[in-house]
Amino acid sequence: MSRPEEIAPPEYFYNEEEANKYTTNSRIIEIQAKMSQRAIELLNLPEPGCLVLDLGCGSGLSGEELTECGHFWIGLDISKAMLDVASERGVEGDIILSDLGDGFTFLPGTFDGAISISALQWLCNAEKADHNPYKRLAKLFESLYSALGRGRRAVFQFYPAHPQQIEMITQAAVKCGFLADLIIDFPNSTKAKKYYLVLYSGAHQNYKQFQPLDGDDQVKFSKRDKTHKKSKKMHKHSREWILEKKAKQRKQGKEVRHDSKYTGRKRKDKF
Amino acid sequence: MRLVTLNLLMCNSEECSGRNQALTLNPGEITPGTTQFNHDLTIRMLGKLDWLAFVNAALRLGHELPDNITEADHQNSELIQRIFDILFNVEIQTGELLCPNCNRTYPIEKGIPNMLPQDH
Ligand SMILES: C[S@@+](CC[C@H](N)C(=O)[O-])C[C@H]1O[C@@H](n2cnc3c(N)ncnc32)[C@H](O)[C@@H]1O
Ligand SMILES: [Zn+2]
Repeated sequence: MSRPEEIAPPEYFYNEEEANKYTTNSRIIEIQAKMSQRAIELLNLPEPGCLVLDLGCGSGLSGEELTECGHFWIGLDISKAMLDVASERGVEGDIILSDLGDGFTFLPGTFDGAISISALQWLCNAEKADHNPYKRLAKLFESLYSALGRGRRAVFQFYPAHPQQIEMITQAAVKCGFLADLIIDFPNSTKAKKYYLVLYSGAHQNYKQFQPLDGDDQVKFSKRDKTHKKSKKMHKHSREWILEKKAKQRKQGKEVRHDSKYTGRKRKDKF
Repeated sequence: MRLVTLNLLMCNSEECSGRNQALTLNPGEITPGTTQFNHDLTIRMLGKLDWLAFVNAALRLGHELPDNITEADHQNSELIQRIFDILFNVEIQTGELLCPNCNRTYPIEKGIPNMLPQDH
């Protein structure tokens, strides 16, 4: 199966037909809802009644989960067809036609958080001759950094095509001032494996580290890009390294999975 | 597009980059919304909005609001409800956003403002 972002630019791929198909497919609805809920959990908002950005909001499947949690959202998307479906469905958020790679401007520091579900990988493609993916990512993160209040978060669930994409995205975000964490849920399941990039806008005060979800006792790690930037040696995720990390976390009173023969096992499904 | 978004959305043209330039509304069709009252959200928004710009935008659509809001006003549930309704239940279906600095216009159709660069 080829990746949608390799077929056509998003505003063409998500045409009227695809937008309707997408939004009425019960499997898609369920998956997007689940990932959105997880992203909202990682967003760690203080209370209901927050103002949240939804980047690549599409037909509003992700935004509806924000509404469920009592937040108001403003969504940006490049596909008019997807936004039309959102509006026909009467979503509670406000929606704006916009190319994330072109940046956006809001009154600075107003948003309490941002989510982006299954959209970021689209920005890694050059859709036009004058598109430079890294620059477009930088524009997006620069805009986002300005729109968010300090000490806030943005959570991006995305489908990286290869590790270099993660690297490029993270670099662009860190360059704009964000701290970055990559959380991989269900790392050993081909189907359930999900990537969440968690960005923090400056200040550490609300810093709370999350652990990846894990259904079948597998490796857990969460990478904090700023601090680990230069330590990319592979022995980092070896069995010894994990056992040591777990022991440390136990000492800190954290809940940690028990060590088993699977701990530190090499993962089969790389990407 | 609701008035809350009108208040927060700024011009995205190259010329206005870094200015945080507010946009003015040239309204077309306006419809009432049905968003459910959210007290916490309204109070939170008071700390975020460009209040004077909001008062002016509301006035142009026939809604009067006080020039400033004090801490004590947060207890005035009638006023908070009214602020909520103007922020969240006035929906701009068609019209145009206008940048007073670079003169760019952004059309609003089916309630959706179009912020795409003009060569799209
Ligand atoms: C798989 S859909 C996800 C939509 C929604 N977040 C959800 O969870 O259902 C991906 C969305 O990203 C949008 N998108 C892709 N590239 C974009 C860009 N450069 N700017 C804005 N939106 C973009 C697409 O138009 C599409 O609506
Ligand atoms: Zn302008």
